[in-house]
Amino acid sequence: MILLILSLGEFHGWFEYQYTSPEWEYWNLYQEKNYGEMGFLYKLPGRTETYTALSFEPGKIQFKRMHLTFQGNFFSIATFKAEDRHWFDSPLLYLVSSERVRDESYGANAEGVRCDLWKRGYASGFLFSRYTVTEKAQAIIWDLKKYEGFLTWGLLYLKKDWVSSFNEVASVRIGLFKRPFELRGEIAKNLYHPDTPDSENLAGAMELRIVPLGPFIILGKAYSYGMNFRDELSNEYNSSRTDNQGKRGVYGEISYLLPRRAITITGKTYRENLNRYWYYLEAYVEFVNNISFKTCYDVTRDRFGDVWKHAFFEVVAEGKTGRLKFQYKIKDIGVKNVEYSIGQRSIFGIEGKLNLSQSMWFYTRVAFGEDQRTAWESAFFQIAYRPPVSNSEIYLEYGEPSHTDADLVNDGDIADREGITTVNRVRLILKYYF
Amino acid sequence: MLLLILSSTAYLTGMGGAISPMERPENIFINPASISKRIVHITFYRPFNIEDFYKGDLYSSFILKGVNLGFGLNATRVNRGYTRVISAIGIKYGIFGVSLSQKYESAPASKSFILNYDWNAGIRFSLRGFAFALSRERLGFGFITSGGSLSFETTPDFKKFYAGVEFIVNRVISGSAGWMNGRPAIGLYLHNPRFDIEMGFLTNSDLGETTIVSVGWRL
Repeated sequence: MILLILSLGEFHGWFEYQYTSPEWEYWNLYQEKNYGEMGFLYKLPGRTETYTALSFEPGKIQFKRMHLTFQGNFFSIATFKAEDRHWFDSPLLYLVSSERVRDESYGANAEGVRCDLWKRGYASGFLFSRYTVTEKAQAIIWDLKKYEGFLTWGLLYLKKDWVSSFNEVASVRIGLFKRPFELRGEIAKNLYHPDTPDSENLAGAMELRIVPLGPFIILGKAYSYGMNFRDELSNEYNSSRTDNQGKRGVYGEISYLLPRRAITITGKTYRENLNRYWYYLEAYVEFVNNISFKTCYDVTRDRFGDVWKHAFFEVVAEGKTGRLKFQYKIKDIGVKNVEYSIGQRSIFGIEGKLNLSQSMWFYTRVAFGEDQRTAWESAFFQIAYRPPVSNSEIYLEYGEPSHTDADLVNDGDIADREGITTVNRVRLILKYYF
Repeated sequence: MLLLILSSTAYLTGMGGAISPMERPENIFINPASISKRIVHITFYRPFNIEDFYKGDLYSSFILKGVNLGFGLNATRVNRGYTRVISAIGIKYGIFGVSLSQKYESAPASKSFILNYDWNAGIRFSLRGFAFALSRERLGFGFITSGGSLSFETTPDFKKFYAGVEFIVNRVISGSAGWMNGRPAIGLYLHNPRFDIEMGFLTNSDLGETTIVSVGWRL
C-alpha cells in the first residue's frame, strides 16, 4: 500500500554540504553545513494536492513544511504550515507585509488556512494564520475586490490577535483606469489598538499615474498617516515605525524619455511635514553593445534636520562571455562630525561574471570604501560548476558575500562600516537536487 | 595573449597585475616575457588622502620584424623627500624575453641616493588557453578564454600570491578584479579604436590605509 501511494506521488528535494576553511581556524577544513530537504508531492484527482517536506541535519530530522490544497475553476482552498501564502493587495498603503504575517524566522513558520474565490473580475481572499516561533499570535485577513474594468475597488479587513490584546484595521480603496490615466485612492482606519486612543487613527493615500504622456511618464501621490494609526501586520505602521506616525506629504515622479535616444531622465521628490524632503535626479543611458550607464544624485532632509546627499554612478555591460558592473558612490557628501554617520566617503565596486564554459563560470564582487581617516575593502570570489545533466552545483568561494550582496556599493556593510575587511575564508559548497 | 604577470608598479597602484588585462607594458620591469604589443601607455596614480604624492608611468613598445621591443619610465615622488625613477628596456622574441632596468632613488632628508641596475629574463608557454610563465622573479599560471582570463602568480619563494580575473564583455568595455598579496584590487577599462581609458582602485597599507585611484591612457 505504501509503495502504491509512493508510486503515485513525486519525490523531490536537495542536499547541501558546506565545507569551510577560515584563517582563524588555521585554515583547517571543517564541515559547516550538512543539510538536506526532501519533499513528497501527491496529486489526487479533482486538483487536490498534498505536499510534505522534511529537513535533515546530523542527528535531527524535522518536519519542515506542508500544504493540502483544493482547487477549482473559481476557488482555491489551502491549509499550510511554514509556507508563504500571505500576500494581499494594498497598492498605496501597503497594509499587509508578508514577512510580518508569516512568522518570519529563517523563512516562513506560520500555519493556517487560506481560501480564495474569483469570478468575472471579482475576487475575495481569507487567511487565518497562527504564529508560534517569533511570538504567540494569530492573524485574520479578509479582502473583497473588483480588479478589472474602468472602475476597480477593494475592501480589506485585518486583525492581529496576540495573547494580551489585538489590533484591528479596515480599509477601502478605489481605482479609475482610462489609458493613459490611472487614479487610485486608499483609506484605512485603525479600529482598535491597545496603545492608541480613538482619534487620529486614519491613513489615506491618493495616486495619479499617467503612462505615457508623450515622452513623459508622470506619477503624483499624496498621503497622510494619522498619529495613532497602527497596523501590526505592516512594515510601515507597526508600533516600532515611529517615523511614519503623523506623516503627511506629497510625492512626485517624472521621467522624460529622450525621443530617438535611449536616454531616460528621471526626477523624483517628496516633501513631508516637519520639513522633511527628498530630491532625486537620475540619468539612464543605454548604448550599443549592451552597455548601460546610470548616474543619480539625491538629497534628503530627515526629521532631525540633518541633510544627506549622495551621488552614484554605474556602468553595466553584458555579453555572451559574461557580465560586468562597475559602481562608484559618494555617500553623505559634506558630512563631518555627525554622531550617526562616519562622514563623507567614496565607495567603489565591481561585479563580474566570466563564463569559462557552458557549465562553469567565475563570479566576483569587490568593493572599496574610503573616507578622510582610512580605507576599507571587501572581496568575494567564486568559481561555480554546474554539470549539464547531474542536477548538482559546486561552488568554491573565497571571502564574505554578504558585505556586498545588496547591490554592491549600496550595501550597508561596505558603505557604512569603516573597519570592514575581506574575510579570509575558503568555502566549498556542494548541492544536489533530485 | 600572454600570461598575466604582476609588477611592483601594479602592486602599488592596482592598475596592473592581477587586475590588468594581459600584456601590460609595465610588466617589462619584472618579466620581459610579457612585453606588450601596445604602442604608448601613460598612467597617473593618485591616492585619496596622501598629500604630495605623485606617480606616473610612460611605456612604449612596438614590434619590429617579429621582435617585440619595449621601453618604460616610472617616476614617483612622495612627501617632498623621496624620489624614485625607474627606467627599463625589454626585448621579447618568441617565447623568450630579457629586460634591463635602472633604478634611481633619492631621499634628501637622509642625504642619500641609490643608483642600481637589475636584470630579468623569462619564458612563457601557452597551449589551448592554458599558459605558464617563468622568470627570474615570478612564476605564473593562467587560463584564457575569449571572454577573459583567470590567472595566478607567485614569487619563487612563494611568499607572495596574486590572483586575477579579467572580464572582456565586448570590444568596448572590460573589467578586472584581483587579489594582490592580501589586498583586493579592481579595474575598469573602456576601449576605443584610437585609445583606451582605464581606472584602477586598490587599498594600500604601504602609504597608510588609503585607496589609490589610477587613470591610464593607451594611445
